[in-house]
Amino acid sequence: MAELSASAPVAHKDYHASKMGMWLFLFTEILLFGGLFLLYATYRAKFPQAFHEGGKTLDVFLGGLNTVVLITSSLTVALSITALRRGAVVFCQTLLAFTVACAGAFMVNKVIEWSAKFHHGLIPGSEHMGQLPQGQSIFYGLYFAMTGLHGIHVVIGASVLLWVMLLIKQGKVTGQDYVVLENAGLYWHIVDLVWIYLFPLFYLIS
Amino acid sequence: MDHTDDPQAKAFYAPQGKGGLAAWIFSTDHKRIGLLYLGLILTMFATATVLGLIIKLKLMTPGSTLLTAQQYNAMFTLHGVIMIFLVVIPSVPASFGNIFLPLHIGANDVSFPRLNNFSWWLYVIGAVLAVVSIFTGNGAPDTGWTFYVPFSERTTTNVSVAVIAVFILGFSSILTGLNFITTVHRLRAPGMTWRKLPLFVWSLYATGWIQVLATPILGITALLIFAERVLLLGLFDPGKGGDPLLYQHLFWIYSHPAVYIMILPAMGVISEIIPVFSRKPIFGYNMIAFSSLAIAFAGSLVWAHHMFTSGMSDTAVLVFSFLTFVVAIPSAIKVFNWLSTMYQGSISLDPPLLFSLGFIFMFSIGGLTGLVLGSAGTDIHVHDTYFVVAHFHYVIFGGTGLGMFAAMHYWAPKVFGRMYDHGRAAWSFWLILIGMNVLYFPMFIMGMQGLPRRYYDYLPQYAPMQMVSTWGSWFLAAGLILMFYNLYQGCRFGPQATKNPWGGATLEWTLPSPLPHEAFHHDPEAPEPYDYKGVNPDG
Amino acid sequence: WFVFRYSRKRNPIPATYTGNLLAEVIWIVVPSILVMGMFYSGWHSYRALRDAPEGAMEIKVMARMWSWDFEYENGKHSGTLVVPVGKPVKLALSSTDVLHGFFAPAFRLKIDTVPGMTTYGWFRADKPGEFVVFCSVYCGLSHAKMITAIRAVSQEDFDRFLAEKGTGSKHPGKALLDAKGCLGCHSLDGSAAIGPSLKDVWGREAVLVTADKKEKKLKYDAASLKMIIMGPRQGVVKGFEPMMPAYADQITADELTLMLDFLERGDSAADGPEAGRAVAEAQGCLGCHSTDGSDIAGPTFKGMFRKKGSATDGAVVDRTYVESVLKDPSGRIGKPSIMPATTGLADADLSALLKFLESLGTATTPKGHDMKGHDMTPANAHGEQHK
Repeated sequence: MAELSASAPVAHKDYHASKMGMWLFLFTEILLFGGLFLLYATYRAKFPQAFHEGGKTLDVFLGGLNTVVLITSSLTVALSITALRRGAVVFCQTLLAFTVACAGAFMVNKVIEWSAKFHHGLIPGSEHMGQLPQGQSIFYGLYFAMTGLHGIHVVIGASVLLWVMLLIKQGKVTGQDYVVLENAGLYWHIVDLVWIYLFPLFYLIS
Repeated sequence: MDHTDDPQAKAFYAPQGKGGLAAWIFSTDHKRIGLLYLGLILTMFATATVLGLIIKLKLMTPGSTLLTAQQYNAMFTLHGVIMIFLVVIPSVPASFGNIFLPLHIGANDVSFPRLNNFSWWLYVIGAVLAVVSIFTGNGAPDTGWTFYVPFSERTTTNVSVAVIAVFILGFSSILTGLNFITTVHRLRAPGMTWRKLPLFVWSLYATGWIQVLATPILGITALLIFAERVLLLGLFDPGKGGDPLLYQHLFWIYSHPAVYIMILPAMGVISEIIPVFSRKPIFGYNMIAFSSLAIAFAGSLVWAHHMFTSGMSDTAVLVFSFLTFVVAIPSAIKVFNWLSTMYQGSISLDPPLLFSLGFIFMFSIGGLTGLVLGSAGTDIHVHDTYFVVAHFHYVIFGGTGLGMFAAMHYWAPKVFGRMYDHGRAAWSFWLILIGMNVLYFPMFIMGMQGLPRRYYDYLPQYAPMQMVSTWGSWFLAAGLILMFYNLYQGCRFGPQATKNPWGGATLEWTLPSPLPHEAFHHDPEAPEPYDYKGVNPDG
Repeated sequence: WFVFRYSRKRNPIPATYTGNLLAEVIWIVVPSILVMGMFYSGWHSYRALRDAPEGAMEIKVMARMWSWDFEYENGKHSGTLVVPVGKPVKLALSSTDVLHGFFAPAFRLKIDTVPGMTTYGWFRADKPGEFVVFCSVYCGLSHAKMITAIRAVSQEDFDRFLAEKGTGSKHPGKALLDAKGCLGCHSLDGSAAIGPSLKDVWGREAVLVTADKKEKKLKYDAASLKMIIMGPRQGVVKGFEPMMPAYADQITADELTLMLDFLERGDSAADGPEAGRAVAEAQGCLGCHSTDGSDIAGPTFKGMFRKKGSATDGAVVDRTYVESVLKDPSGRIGKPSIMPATTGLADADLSALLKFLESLGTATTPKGHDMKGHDMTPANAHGEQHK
């Protein structure tokens, strides 16, 4: 979806309109996660102890590493926009490639983390999950739902960035017409921002 | 963009217009997309209407006739899902909004034409999935359109596919809303100030905001149901400490504002039609525009009045009951303003106005009974009964449905360039109006007597009312058939329509009928939308 | 109205004013006052519907697909709600499976039942009679059939009703079939309803259609009925829709035994040991004492009769022993026990209970492989396990 809202302005070249459309879209993305945050808030108020226990079992190191990775990638995206506007096309592409690599690293981390959880029998719907005390299975359910949805967004964001790299290579996105890159960057920032909220809520609450 | 230099552009929107299928379904032209929507919406409307007729036929007599319980449950679920998500929500905005919003503000298209086409495709995918869910898996969904947990998690029927369909349709709706908001902000013609916007545009603008703000919550709710069913997360499962009421909150945070997504554009249509046929400027332009926004805003805060009996706290009931009454005020403002627009006007009772008056009549009944539901004490008794069913159909079918029909009669000559038969249109209107009232009014009485909704069988004491109600459904069906036949006949073979058959002052009437592809070659001058001096109906 | 007065023929030249501030203000203010008045009266009546008077009799309501269960203050259960006329009744409602709604139109009472949560409502029946109760929240297949009644009776009738032992002369299994909602879909008189009739079902043959559409013969006996009622189900009986919920988490093994006993032997078995099982069930014994040899919170009943009890004096389990343990568990056993004292057990019930215990101890000789060895020894009696 992000692809199209980002692509539409190419036809129109209405810089403000496409920025506005993108912001509205990001707004809906935040609201999408907002529903989950609402669930989180309610259940945490209901089962504070279980959330505390659940938070202990998450790997703060891996989570922290992922936070650093994402923040770095946000920085490089921002730099790439500046680079493109200055005409440093190659540098811009390098920065974008680095960002996408960060996204890859993030996902690898995530896979390691999740498979460790699965290894402990924490598979949604499994018998082990069913036997956990009430609040804990909710905690893990939310954990999987929210980080899972976020993971999907990371993949989408990385794909969009790759697609923008292709456009830059083809010369369709340039230092004069960079709104597509800017919008893709905005999207990436949102992905990052959501994680910055997810990290303390799940990893650091214990 | 491939058809910009189509030589036949002028006749493009007439049914005889040339152009391959691909030129239509990949079109980025807002008028074509609007027509694509219109076609699909009407198809879906016909489907769901048939389902509704079958339901009424089954309920004609008590006992297990015609349908089994399972079939009946699937039937009313599909009637609800298709009508709500595939017909009523996109009805006016996606079809006529797409066609006339850009024209009203003097633009040649919406801000993101390709996105617009993409929305339509999402709509198609959603529609296909909804249909697929009927025929695959373990039978059609039987949860009701609200998908309440924990039943929706437990039933073995094909709910997973249906909620994904709802998710996709939600996205389609978000993107349309986003497109409209941006268009209104960015593409107004020079001189088209906010206070010169036609009220139809205002209502779409308010609708756009609700779509953008509320629909994502529906998206996540639908996704969560899917996750619960497929990944067994158990977030709403009471066995694991989950809270089913939370689902209801999330669901209604979207679905209540959705009611305003449904009704606001229809109100916009009415605000256009009434002054045109009264030859008198709209009464209280500011108040109508403002009340659209007020409804959009206040309407987003009243979701929990669907849950007075759900077991949530009494404080919540107090707050939501209060807010619900607040929403009634802007709606009342609109009705009063429409009536005073007609007061001392010079009224010509043409079909679009007929349907608009039907709208006001039905909407008033629906609105007043809504107050009965909003009042905490009375709601306890009539909640989840046929009273709610009747109220909802008065507002949505009597409101949005008639608004949609009014729009069809108002703009058909503009879009297709031909005029339908006025006498037949009037006949069909009276049939529809009588049918609706005979069909739905007995439901109010049955609801007061305590007949709960979604019952495939009922106690014999309700039989006479059910019988009357079923007769009503046949009147209604006859009226609908006559109306669609008349419109089809008119748009195909009717006499050529003139540029401005009704004497409207908004920009679309300055264009030839049918609409040309490139509407404005240079920016038009923004008119006063409700100044009828010097604007007269042709002929 | 305006339409005819100002039709184009009569009034060809329209007025042109665009608005009137005063009018606007009037129709903002007037409806505002009106709706606020309605809001207040609505809220007022809502409070009246919500606030139960002090000292109301509390009855627990449990909703399930697709029937109701009412539990009175003395622990008695029934499928219809019996209340005394003129006394306020407070309902504490919950649900075992999905959302339901308790709706009694005659009393303007409607409240949803939510699994995992208790909701409240109250009413007072001012005159005797039967009043219908609907389920108001859609709950699946037989939502429309989830109907029961409030029976308002005089105080004396109500007391008599409460005092009656739930089973009456009927077989306890039959009462269970009713209470679990089975009879909503399965008739006892041979007529086909949503599901096959239960009349003379035992030993009858039917055809089972499995999930992959294969048909196989099925003879109704203990094993096949258990498979159908408790699941996992191997298929659907030919000619019927697959709509029966699985009852594995709603029916205990003991309840199942009772129900099967009724299906096998009908009402004639009411005086047999199964009547004692019903007493044990009603008194809650079976929550802690199993009948299949496994220990729950207390020692199993299986083979307990005539064995040495857990009291320090080494008495065997017989009538006097059971009587004394029931009266004062901790005192009789000589150490603290979690077992509550039971009072007011009628002689007939005690006899039935003993007969039931006897049937478990002597009629079924335990086989070594289906229970652990120590289950049989007296050492496993009350108190011992708390060591």
